[in-house]
Amino acid sequence: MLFNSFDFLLFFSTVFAFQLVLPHRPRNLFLLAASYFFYACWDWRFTGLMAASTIIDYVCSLAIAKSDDQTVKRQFLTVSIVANLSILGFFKYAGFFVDSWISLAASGGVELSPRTWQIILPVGISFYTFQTMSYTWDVYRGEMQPLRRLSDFALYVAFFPQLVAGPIERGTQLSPQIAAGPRTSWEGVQSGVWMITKGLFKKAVIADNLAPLVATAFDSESPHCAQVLIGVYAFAFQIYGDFSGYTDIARGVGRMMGYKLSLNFRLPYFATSPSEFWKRWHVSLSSFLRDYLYIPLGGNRGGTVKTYRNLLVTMLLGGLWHGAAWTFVIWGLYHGLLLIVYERFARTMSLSDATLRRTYWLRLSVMFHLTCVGWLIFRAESFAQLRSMVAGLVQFQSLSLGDLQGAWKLMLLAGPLLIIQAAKEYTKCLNFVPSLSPLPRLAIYAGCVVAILTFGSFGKQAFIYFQF
Amino acid sequence: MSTPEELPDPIARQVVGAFERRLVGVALVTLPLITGIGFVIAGRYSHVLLFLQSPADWSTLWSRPIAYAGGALAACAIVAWWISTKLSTERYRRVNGLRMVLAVLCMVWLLDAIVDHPRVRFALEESVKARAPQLDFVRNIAFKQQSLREGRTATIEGQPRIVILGSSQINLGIDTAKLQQTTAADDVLEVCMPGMVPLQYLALADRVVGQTPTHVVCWLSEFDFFRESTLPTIRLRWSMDRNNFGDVASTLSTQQQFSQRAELADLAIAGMSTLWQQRSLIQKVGFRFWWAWDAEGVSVTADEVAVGAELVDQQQGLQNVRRNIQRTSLVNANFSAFEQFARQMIRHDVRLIVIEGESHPETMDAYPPEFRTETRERLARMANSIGFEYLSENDRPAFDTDQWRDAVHLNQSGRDRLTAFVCDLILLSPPSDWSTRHPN
Repeated sequence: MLFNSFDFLLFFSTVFAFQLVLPHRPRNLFLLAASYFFYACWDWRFTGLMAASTIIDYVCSLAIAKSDDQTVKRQFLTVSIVANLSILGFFKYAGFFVDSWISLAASGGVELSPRTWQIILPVGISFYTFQTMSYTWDVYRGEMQPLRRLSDFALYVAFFPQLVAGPIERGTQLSPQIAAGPRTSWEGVQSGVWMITKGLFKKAVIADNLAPLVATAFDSESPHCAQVLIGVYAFAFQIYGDFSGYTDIARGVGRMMGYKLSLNFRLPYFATSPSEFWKRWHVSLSSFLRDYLYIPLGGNRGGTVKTYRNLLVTMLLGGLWHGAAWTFVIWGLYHGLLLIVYERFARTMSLSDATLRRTYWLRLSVMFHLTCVGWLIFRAESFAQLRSMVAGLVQFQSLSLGDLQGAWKLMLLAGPLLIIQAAKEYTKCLNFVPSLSPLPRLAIYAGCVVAILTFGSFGKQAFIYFQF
Repeated sequence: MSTPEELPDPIARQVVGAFERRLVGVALVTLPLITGIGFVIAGRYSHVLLFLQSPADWSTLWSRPIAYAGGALAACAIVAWWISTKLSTERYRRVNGLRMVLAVLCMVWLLDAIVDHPRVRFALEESVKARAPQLDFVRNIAFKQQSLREGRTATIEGQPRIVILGSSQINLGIDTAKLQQTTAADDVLEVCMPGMVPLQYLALADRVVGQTPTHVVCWLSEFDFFRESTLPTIRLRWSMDRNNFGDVASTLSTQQQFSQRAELADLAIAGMSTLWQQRSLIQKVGFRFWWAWDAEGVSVTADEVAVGAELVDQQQGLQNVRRNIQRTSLVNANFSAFEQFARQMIRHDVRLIVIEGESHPETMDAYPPEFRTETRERLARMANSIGFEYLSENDRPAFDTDQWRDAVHLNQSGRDRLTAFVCDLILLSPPSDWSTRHPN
């Protein structure tokens, strides 16, 4: 059930209407049932897996909170982490590691029979396992008290707006809301509707209309320079539109029901350095990696070499989190190296504020293009495709009609988004549009609705991050 | 460098308000310039942007009324924006919430009404024609919309007015000029689209009746009925209105209505909103802009132009048949749609002539024979009960292998033969014993 489908509209209208009239406890139970129904629409067989993960973390978190013995606490934390990582490892990475082992053995001259089994990847597994792990960890660190009711905790894990593609909600952020049972407010409905509209615009208008351009470039056997550039730029906006569109809809849906979900994007293409990029892109994942991996590894406390090692390990695992493929590993590694190079450069050069201001557009442009190189690695389905795209960059041909139309489409779709985002960046205000005076606000709202009606694509293209 | 955040409302309004006032200030200072630019762009380039005329023709392109409209719009927008920024906090709050939602809906409704205006629709269709290559489906829609928009009445009383309705098979199978000449018809109108299905016949029934035809000629085979598994929204959307949506929905069983709820919702919105109904055309205009004036579009052969569809070689034809012809869930819906269409024609005293369609003999071998028998029987029963003329393959000429242009379309020889047959049918009065001629 995609957010941009008629089925979701029916589902959410029903859920919204019922949750309005139900009191707190029944409301939570109803939302839990709705969330499991929502998940079962993808594949009912995996609801059991989610329930198992929920029960393990519920028991572990209660045991951690109850015990005064640090060893016992640590044991239950280990159980939680091992259980979650085992589930994730089996469903997401078993096939990948077996295939890699077979390839490695083959390169050493040992022929192993290829695997004949396939494991279906349960949708959203990377998101909810990380969410439950962070919850137990936060309870272990004493940052929060666990939820006492199993139904409340199950709702925290399965809350349908953010279940399949995040944001990865911290226990400290979402569980108190679930326990308190926020109510729908008129302000919440207003801002929720705008977030949903904005999200639909990004997903159905921008991302899904750019998808064919991207596919044309990446599926081409011998792409030329213009095709590669258009394809990669288009993918940069496709993946942004797709993922941030999903997040906007998730946050809007949550907001309409009274829940405040975390920000996941802060205008990432206006970053001027890799560290800034990761403060703006998929914030809930990058902060998870920072708090539960980078810092426990030692962060920047053990000298330069250890800091760089920690950065590389964190980014490499972050890349692997996205998918079981070597291209994601390389992508993670690439971002790790970027972080190191930039950190080194900043430390050596120590530029003054005036220089930083003067070179703002240059730094922004460089970072955007470095990000695009990363997207090229990320989107490539194999090393052969990656090689073909890179080789295409130096294949110069005169522009074809298709190239011109592709460039026009990219400009038409990304242009208005960038203009509004530039204003947001300038004012440092993410709720820029709702804060405008009535006339331009009306023009933007109506423009979005009309664009969705005329250019929107509905219910055909799944969200990219669902596969992770 | 700080990252942007979601600011509390009063602070956000203050920050954004200051930014807006600065921007409006600049816009007010440059008002004459912006008005001038609006004037020139609208007057000179609006036609170019819409119809993609080449620079060679620019000297002839100057529309004073559009120029004034463009200039005035630019100036008014800036002044209105300035007034908007001057609203007090209290008034600002009032233009929020439900009022804003209503204002947005009004804007959308207004735009909907604008797009529904015949002149705007004409401009939209013409600009689609300028962008889409010859055989593009949306281009085809633009042509059909234009030809069916206005109802027509007879210019010569007592003469036949013929509508040829169906897919590219009948489009190529009948020579309309010869048909008009031989039958001395007042008018011959082709309402043909590649792969047209009976559900489309029903959706277009009112518009066909609006042409006040005396005869409607169709060419139908199992290829038309045994194909769709979901409602073909792209085919149906453009022809939806408040009246025919119910008709189309009624062809589905309750279970199908539930399983195809998304498609039905799509068509229901198309019946209510012109913007949604015309989205294929608007997308074509929006996305198909290019400035390489002399660049060639997608090339098509003269044959394909004549057919109005892609030519299908034998192998591809066989593949299409094997892939597409199945007992899909919409078989009954297609028959039901055609039945309703036929009833509507008969109710309006239109002589409906349905000829059993066929394809190249080799292609026919790939058709499951039971589908052919079933189609024939069901259409024959329908003809008996409703009262239209159904000519099965025993009642019409059989076409030889050398009368086919490709896997599914007739060539000139086949075309002449079918045209002569249709001319004879129209010139002769309908026999009273049609029912006896239907095979079992």
